[in-house]
This record gives sequence, structure tokens and C-alpha cells, in this order.
Amino acid sequence: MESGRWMGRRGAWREPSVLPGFAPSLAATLLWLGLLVAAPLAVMLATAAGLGWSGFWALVLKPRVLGDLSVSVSSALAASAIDVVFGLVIAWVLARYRFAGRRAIDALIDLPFALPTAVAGIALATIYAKEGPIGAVLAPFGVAVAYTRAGIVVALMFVGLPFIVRTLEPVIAELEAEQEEAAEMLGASGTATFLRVLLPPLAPALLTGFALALARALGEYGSVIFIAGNKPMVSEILPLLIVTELEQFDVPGAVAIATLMLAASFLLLLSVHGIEAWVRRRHGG
Amino acid sequence: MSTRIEIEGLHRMLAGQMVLDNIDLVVQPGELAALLGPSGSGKTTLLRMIAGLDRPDRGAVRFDGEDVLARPARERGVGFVFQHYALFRHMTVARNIGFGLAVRKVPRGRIEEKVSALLKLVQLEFLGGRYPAQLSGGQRQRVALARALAIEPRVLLLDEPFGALDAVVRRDLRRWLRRLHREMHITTVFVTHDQEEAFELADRVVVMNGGRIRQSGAPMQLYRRPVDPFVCRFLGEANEIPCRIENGFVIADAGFLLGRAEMGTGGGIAYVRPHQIALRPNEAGDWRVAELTAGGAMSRVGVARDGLSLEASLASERALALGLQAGMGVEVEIAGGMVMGDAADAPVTLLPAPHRDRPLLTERKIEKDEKEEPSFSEEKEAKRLLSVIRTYDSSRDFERRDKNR
Repeated sequence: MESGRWMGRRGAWREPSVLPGFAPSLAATLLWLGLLVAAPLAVMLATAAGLGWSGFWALVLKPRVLGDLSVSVSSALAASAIDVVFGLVIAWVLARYRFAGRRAIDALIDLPFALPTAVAGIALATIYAKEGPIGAVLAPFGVAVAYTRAGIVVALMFVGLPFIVRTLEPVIAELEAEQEEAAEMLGASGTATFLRVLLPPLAPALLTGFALALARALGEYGSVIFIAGNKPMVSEILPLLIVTELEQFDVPGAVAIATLMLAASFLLLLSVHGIEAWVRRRHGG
Repeated sequence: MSTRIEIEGLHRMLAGQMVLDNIDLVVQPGELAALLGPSGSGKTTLLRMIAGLDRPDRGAVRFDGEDVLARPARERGVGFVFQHYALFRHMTVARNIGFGLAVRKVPRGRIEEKVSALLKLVQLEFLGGRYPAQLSGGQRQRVALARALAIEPRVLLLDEPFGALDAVVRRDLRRWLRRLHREMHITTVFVTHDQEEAFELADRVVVMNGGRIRQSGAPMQLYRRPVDPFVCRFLGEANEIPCRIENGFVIADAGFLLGRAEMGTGGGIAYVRPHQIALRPNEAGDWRVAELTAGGAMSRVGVARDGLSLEASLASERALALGLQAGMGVEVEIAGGMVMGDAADAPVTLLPAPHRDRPLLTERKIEKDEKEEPSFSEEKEAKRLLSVIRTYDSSRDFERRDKNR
């Protein structure tokens, strides 16, 4: 019964492990996260708490704030959803095929990670403006991208794409080609093979990629402000409003909006991760 | 009922290399055929072409006379079991098995019925709700088989079906598959590199090498009458003794009589399997026991004389009864084999030499059987070979003959 002592410790906050170094590494983790993440957020939340409930709601429940929040969230969701579709195609091509120029495309994928977002915003605005190469093509059809909500979505798609591609690529590479052949031998059409055999194992990775792209899109600022029209409640994102408030030295207003933004982002990401966990469980790990 | 597979003039070049070179093969309805060969012999490519997963450069594949090359794999009615099973990991066992029916839009009730019948068939009744990751290798293999059978295929193809399993599971599954085939009688082709597996399972073994079929026939026929040295070596160990045929006698280049042959003249190599060599202790004998390895049911005995060493195998019980020991003198009798080489166009059967003053009791019987050969039928051939083996075995039994005298 020597082991009874160990098994009896079920209520302990830490599973027994023979691996050394738990205490120092946990300490480092907490310290680092505390300094980098928790402390600034805590200061912000403390300032917001100083406003009191009524003060907070008064600053937040304004048409412009809510309108901009809706622009921010809906654009981020739309951009991430579109990225999932095209990211899947790109990741598929990169993982499955070997062709000339594959390395160049591979490097191109990461560019939005590295580029200063303001540069991307200016570039996108130039291309999609009425006089720009793409904007000029779209203009006769009455489609305007730059300085509209569509522009916001384009900018968010740009910054979100690499998250989807990089998340999916290794998972696609791991799929056995034999599975597709097995589906074919059993009489499945191409569509049925894709929907029933290929897509389900990719679902968790797709959701992870979606969550990452969404997180990035919700927080994106630099690239958007150059291409969005920044018209309140139509093509203005919430982060821009925060900056505007700050520029007018309205710190309480900025903090209240930031707290709202934080809560909205946190809830969105939490629910995406919840769905992801459910999908993973359903597919037996 | 069962489908007949005909393959004619199948060619396939890949990266400048001939993967399949003019393959002709007929698999009879209900037959269980093995494609046997070393890796790179083209056997898996051939299987994949029958399935439709690969396409030949030219040639024909017909099921019951109908050309199926124009049809995509999914319409050929072929059940395929992959080497690593390729089970769908995100589906339960039951949904894996029902997949082929689900994509055919079979009503759910029918699928459930069929799946439970198949689960019973493969003896996994209670595992329908599990995921593949929760099964052992042998269980996965059976799920893969049930999934392939669910679509009621005309033809069943298996790629190295037991390759990924350990020895005991492999043996059990082999026997189970053999029984299953006997009950279902579905035309089946499987690929293997293991000659023991091919021999135990198949009605017919097709030996392949370098993209060609070297020989095809009943296991016994192949084993006893290989057409070339490759087949002979691939189907089991053989002593290779340089020799020549002169006046109906086969004489080893090392200078002693190996046996007789009814045709051929000139040089060649005698291929003699270890069990075709009989030993008798005799201190005055020309041979010495060089090495003795007792291993389980069979023992291996290395014997040597000047310039030549041979390997014999015999039941361990016999080795004990004979009192074989390293260093002791023995007489060696070659009870059978084949001579191949310049001596004749086709391999020549090596017949036992009359043993000094006592001619072999069985000699006449063998001669009589040899002459019946023109009216060749596989069943007869198998029976004949069995009787020959029995006579060889009894001819090895020196002790009993000594008693009889």
C-alpha cells in the first residue's frame, strides 16, 4: 500500500510527476504572464472599475460605440470565415503538391506576419482605390472596396490568412492519401470524400485557425484605418474610436470602450474554443 | 456467381523503369490467388491496377469478359483492404463499415442490419461503437475487411494484409481468412512477400520479379517444380550444388554421385532443399556433421565433405533418434531436387540414386508416376506430389528399412 499515499492525493492541485523543475518553471511562467499580460490589463480594468457601473454604461451605451463595435465584430467574423475557405485551399495546395514556385508561395504566406500593418493598409488602399489597379476594374460594376466596410474586411483577411494556412498545413500533410483511396474504393464521389472523409479530421484545426485569425482581426488597427472610410457606425472600427477618445484626452471613455472590446473578444474566443473542444471530443481525439 | 479476372498484356513504365512488363494472368472465379515477390517486383502495382487506383500504359483488365479499365475505381465493385487499413479515424467502427452503403444512399435501417451482420462475421459484435484508435492491429484489420465486404464486391483485393501484425495474430488471422474465403467464395487476390503466407492461404501462387510473372500455379507445384533458379530460391532455401548430367547420372563437380536424371546432358546446378537430404550415421561415410542446430520441431544439420558443404533439415525427434552429433561420420542421400542450367532447356528432376546394394524401394513407383505426366491436371498433380513426398519421407527412414531387411 506504499502507493496509496500517492493515489490518495487526488485532491491535490498538482498531479504527481517525476519530471523535475516544476516549481521554478511555473514561477517563471506566472511572472512572465503577470508582467506582460495581466498587469496592463489589470490596470485598465482597475481604471474602468473606478468609473462605477452607471458611469461605465453611460460611456459605453452610445450609438457610436455600439455601432463601431458591431462593425468591428462583424468585419472580423466575415474576414476570418472567408480566410478559412481560401486558407484551406492554399494549405491544401502547399501540403499536397510539389511544383515550381512552391517555396516562393510558401514565403509569401508569412509576409502579413512580418509587414508593418500600416504599410499593408496603405498598399491595400492604393490598389483598391477607384484609381488603383483593382479598384479601377471593380468601379464600373459599382463596387467600391477602399474607404468602405468591404475595405475593412479585405484588410482583416490580409492579416488573418497566414494563421489559417499555417495551422492547417501540418494537419493536411498528416492525412494519409490511403484514406482518400479507401473512400474511392468504397464508391464515394469526390464531393462525398471531401465532406465525409477529409473535412472532419480537419475541423478542429480549421476552428483553431479561425480563432487565431479572429483574435488578430478583432485587435487589428494599423492596416484597417488606411483603407476604411472611418465613417462612424459605418466604416469605423472600435479600436480607432479608442484612439480618437484618447487624442481628445478622454481617458475614462477610452478605458470603458477598451474594456467592452476586451469582454467581447474574450467571449467570442471562448465560444470558438468551446466549439473546437466539442468537435475534438466528438471525433475521438 | 463469382467473377473471373483476366489480365492481358499489362504494361507500366514509371520514371523510365519497367514496373510491369507484359503481364498475363487469369484468376478463376472464386479462386484465392497470391501475388508473391520481393519488394519492387511490381506486385502491388498490379493489384492497384486491378482495383483502378493505378492505370496501365497498355493492356486489358477484364471482369467476366467486360473491360473495366475505362471505369473509375469506385464503379468497379472491388473491395480493397489497404496495408495500413486506412480506416476513417473520426468514424466509429460501425460507421466505417457502413461507409460504402451510406455513400450509396442505402436506407439507414438496411445499413444498420448489414453492419451488425458484418460485425458478427468478423467477430467484433461488441465493438461497433469504438473508434479505430481504440482497437488492436488484428481488430483493425478485420474492420477493414468488413468495410470492404459491405459493398458486396465482385472481387476482393488485399495489399499485404498481415504485414503490420505480429506473428501469432498473423497466423490466426490467416486461418480465419482462409475459412472466410471458403464460405464466401469471392474471387480474391492478395499481395505478399512472405512465401509461407502465400502457401498457407492461396489456391494459386503467382511469383513475380522485376515486373514479370516468373511462375504461376498451385503452391505444391511451384515448390516441387520451380521453372527457374529465382523461383526456386524465393520459395525456400535450397542447397546449390554445381554438377553435370552424364548418361542419365547427375554427378557433382566435387566428384560424387548425386542421383539420376531422365533427360539432359551437360553442366548445371542441382537445387536440393534441406528436407530432401537424408542422413544416416556411418563412421565410414564420406560426410561429417559440421554443425547441428536444434530448433523447435525441426533441426538443421550442416554436413561437409572435401570442397562441399550442404544443409539438411529433419524432425528434431529423428535427429535425436539417429544420435546425430557434430563431428560424426554420416552417409548422405539426395532424395530429390531439380537440375537447372545448360544441361537442358527446362529444369530436370533429380531422382534418387540407387543406394549401393539396396535399390530404393520406392524407385519404380516414382518412375511410373513420372510417365503419367502428359495428362496433366492440377488435382492429379497435387495428389502425385503428395505421394512422392510420402515415398521420399519413407525412403529417408533408413532405420525402418534396416529392420525390414
